[in-house]
Amino acid sequence: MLPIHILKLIREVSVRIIHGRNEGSDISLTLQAVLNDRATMSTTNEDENDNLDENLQLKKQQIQADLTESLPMSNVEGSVSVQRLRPDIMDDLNWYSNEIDLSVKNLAQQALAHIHANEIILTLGYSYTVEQFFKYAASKKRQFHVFILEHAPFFTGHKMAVNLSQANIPVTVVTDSAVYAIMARVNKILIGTRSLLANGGLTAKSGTYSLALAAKNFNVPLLVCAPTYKFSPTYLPSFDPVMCNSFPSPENILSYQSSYQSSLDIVVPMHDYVPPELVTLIIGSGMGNAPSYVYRIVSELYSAEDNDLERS
Amino acid sequence: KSGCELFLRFITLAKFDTFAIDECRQKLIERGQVFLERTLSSRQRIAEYSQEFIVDGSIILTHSHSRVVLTLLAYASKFARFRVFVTESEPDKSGAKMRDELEAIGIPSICILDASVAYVMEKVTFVLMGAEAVVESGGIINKIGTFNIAIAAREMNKPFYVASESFKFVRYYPLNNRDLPDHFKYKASTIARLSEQNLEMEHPLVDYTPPAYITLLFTDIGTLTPSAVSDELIKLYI
Repeated sequence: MLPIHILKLIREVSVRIIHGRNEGSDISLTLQAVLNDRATMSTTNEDENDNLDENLQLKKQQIQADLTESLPMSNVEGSVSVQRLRPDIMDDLNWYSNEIDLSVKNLAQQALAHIHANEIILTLGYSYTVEQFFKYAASKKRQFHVFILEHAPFFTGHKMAVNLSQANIPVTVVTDSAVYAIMARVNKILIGTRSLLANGGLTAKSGTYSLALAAKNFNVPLLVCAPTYKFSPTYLPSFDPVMCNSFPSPENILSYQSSYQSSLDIVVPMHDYVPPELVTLIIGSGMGNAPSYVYRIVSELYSAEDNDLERS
Repeated sequence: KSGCELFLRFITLAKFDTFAIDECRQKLIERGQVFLERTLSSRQRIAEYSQEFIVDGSIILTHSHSRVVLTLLAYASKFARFRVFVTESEPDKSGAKMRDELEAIGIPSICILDASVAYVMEKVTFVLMGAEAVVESGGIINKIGTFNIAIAAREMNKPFYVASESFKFVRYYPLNNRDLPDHFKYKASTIARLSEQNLEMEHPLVDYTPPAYITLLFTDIGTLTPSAVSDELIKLYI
């Protein structure tokens, strides 16, 4: 059956992509789910799902290239099915890329429901989704004040501050270490995340875990803006930071020029894991969801076989 | 109990159009065999799904004797090195049997007193249990002492994992430990022997652990959070 060839091809490509790229969410899994559905019901026009990052165009081309490669390998009867499936698959991929573009816009539309007048909202570092969220609320003339944690050592908070102040939103930049001190004044926290795990936990920028713990202590709601492509069906197998984190260069902290003992170890983790108990609400393209409901969204977005690409 | 109910539903809710009695019989038998195969392979599938959670150097705490946990650990021992603490689990001391079987596979294991669970909890990486039943709320019914361990694990922030096959999912929603019916808690012979009031003097054999204390469930239908259990339950039973 030809769809199985296609699926195998997609799985191989996805595994290669996941291993190659350290950053980015588990996009290939849902791309696979989309194509999976298409392959199994090639005539019906089902509602598939979305998940992607900036490499979508590249991915599309890659899959197109692979599909054309596979043509000579299949038999005559097979190649007819591929031709038949091709336009449907292209339609789905187009739909997919549109969904990605629109998902952040849809999310931002909900800003007025969550940001109330004269509130003080805390955020961490730079997140495109959160920026759009704030800008939408400001464009609807909502008055609010934003505290931004700098997010050392990358200082992405500064970029966020510049962008938001251009939209005439009053901002205050705060050092990461002061998060506990200002938490008493804050009304709510709004953050983005790198990805959402199947148990409702987050892998987010480093510093988010301490933010979440401080919030729990002061009972401040922690809202997470997550467009649909950030939902992932994986679980974190262990809390061991070396296994489940990436460590960029420590150049920012201590430059290569400076002299220091070789016994000095500089650890710069990229991400933090935040357990689901600390998250109050996950704002997605549809509406707000509790972290315990994420499993349901994930089961709708992904097909069960795609949860583990390595095992085919 | 749930296993039987699921089996009955599975074989009878099959579709066929003819009324010939022999064919019906044949179909029932076939489906029964499919069900049997699926349940026999479920332990292996659980072991495969949960394999990534067992990393090198883990120290695992388990309770009493569970064949699911045994299969899981036996499979994982091919890929990772870890140690196991097993609680003795009075009154039948089945923990000692578990320890012997683990040692036979080659997994270093130590049998500890039930009372020393809190003492040991700080050393442990995570807790892994079997279950006698998984209830609709996502909680589990398991050998007495499970709830003790769950409370200690929560206090020390250790993950509490439960491994169970899907036929153990039962359509039942206890509100607390007192809510469990007597025929779960005591052996049939005990209930026959004593009357209502005197049962209070007996020690129950199982307890109920609410879903808030459970981190994840490893089942043959995949890795689930406790809140996902009722969804899966409905899918199984319709």
